[in-house]
Amino acid sequence: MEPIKVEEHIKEKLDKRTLQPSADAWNRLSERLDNQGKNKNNTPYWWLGIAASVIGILFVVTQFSDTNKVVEEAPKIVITPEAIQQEKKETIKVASVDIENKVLNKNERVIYKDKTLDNPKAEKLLRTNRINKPLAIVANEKSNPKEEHIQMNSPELPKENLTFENQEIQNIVAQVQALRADKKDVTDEDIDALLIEAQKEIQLNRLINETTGVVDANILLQEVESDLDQSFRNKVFEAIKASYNSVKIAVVQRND
Amino acid sequence: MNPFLKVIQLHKNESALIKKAIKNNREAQHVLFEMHAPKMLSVCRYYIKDLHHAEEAMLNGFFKVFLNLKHFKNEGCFEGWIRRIMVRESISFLRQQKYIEFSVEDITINQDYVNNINTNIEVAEIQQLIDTLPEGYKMVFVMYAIEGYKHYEIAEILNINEGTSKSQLFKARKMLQEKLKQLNKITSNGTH
Repeated sequence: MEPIKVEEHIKEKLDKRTLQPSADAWNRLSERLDNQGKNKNNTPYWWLGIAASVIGILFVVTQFSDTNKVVEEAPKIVITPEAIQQEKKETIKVASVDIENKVLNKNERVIYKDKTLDNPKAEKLLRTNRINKPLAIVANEKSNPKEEHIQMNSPELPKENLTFENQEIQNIVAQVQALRADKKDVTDEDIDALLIEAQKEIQLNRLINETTGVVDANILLQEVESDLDQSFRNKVFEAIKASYNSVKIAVVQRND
Repeated sequence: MNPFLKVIQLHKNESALIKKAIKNNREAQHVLFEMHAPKMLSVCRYYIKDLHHAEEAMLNGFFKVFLNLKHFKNEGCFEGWIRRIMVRESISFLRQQKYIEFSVEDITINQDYVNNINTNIEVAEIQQLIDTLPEGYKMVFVMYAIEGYKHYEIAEILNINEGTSKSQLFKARKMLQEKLKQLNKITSNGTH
């Protein structure tokens, strides 16, 4: 036998060889391919599910973010007109303390001009009433200075042109006059009762918004804050006054 | 019929079958399987000693063939494309079974040692000889001597360096030489 190259011989022999697979080989492969097809068909549904959930989450998130925006913007919309008015009032209050005093003096003069009021107590109470409502008076002064000027000159003006506070004052004056006509003697208690009643009415009127008929929360809060400030200030003054008096008494007693 | 025309007809048929198989036509896939499975089982058998395991590797290979058939470009031979998939699948199977071991040694290769042996052995005996080789030797030997891969290709596929591939081939040849000598002795003794 002739010598041959082993590797070439091996290659040649093996290349020619074929091995028949088992009878069910194709069935097994076909089954795998079918399963693969089913899995492939299922895949889009999975993706659809995932996509749907992502869209759902996004929708919920956008909804929440929208509501947040509404909540953030809502106060702006509601406040804007009133806030401007409020700011105006505030600036007027701060900038025109002198004007306020002047107005008070003028009002006092108006009361003095009204000779129907003989009782000094009533005048005093009227004055305190004005002090409690400086904002309204000043606002009135600023927004309608002519009106106030007219009022100073002629306190008997028709009621349509007057503010609610002024109307109340005039009502009280009228009631005091009526009481005086009936009893001929008006006591301090009567005047106090009338003034307290008028004060409550004015406060209530300020709280209720004329257009909507709803109590304005901001004004209510402001009222409470101003009351708190005032009471605290009063307490401090009273404490100082009491301590001053006790010191004064002590000094006097020591001198004696 | 002219044999050249026969080849053209076969190629045309195969191309049509491939187009149908890409569209998941099971019948076309079956025909392609029947055409190439015997040869591919033989290829897998080079590497895997157990025939059932070799068939399993071959089915895995065909499964990948049909899944990736759309990526096959008609530029090359379809059988060659399938064959490469089968080789990789067989190696992958051996890796999973953790059969592969490579002894890393750099050896100067002498090309004249094994190619001139008087032998006339049958294919079954050749396969038996190859089966006796260690997995590392066997893979490199089959890939280089029978499949025609280059050392750099073997190194890339088996994730080894070229030196290792060469040394494995050298050892495989040496071992085969010894075994063929023994086989020759036995056959010559038998004939005398």
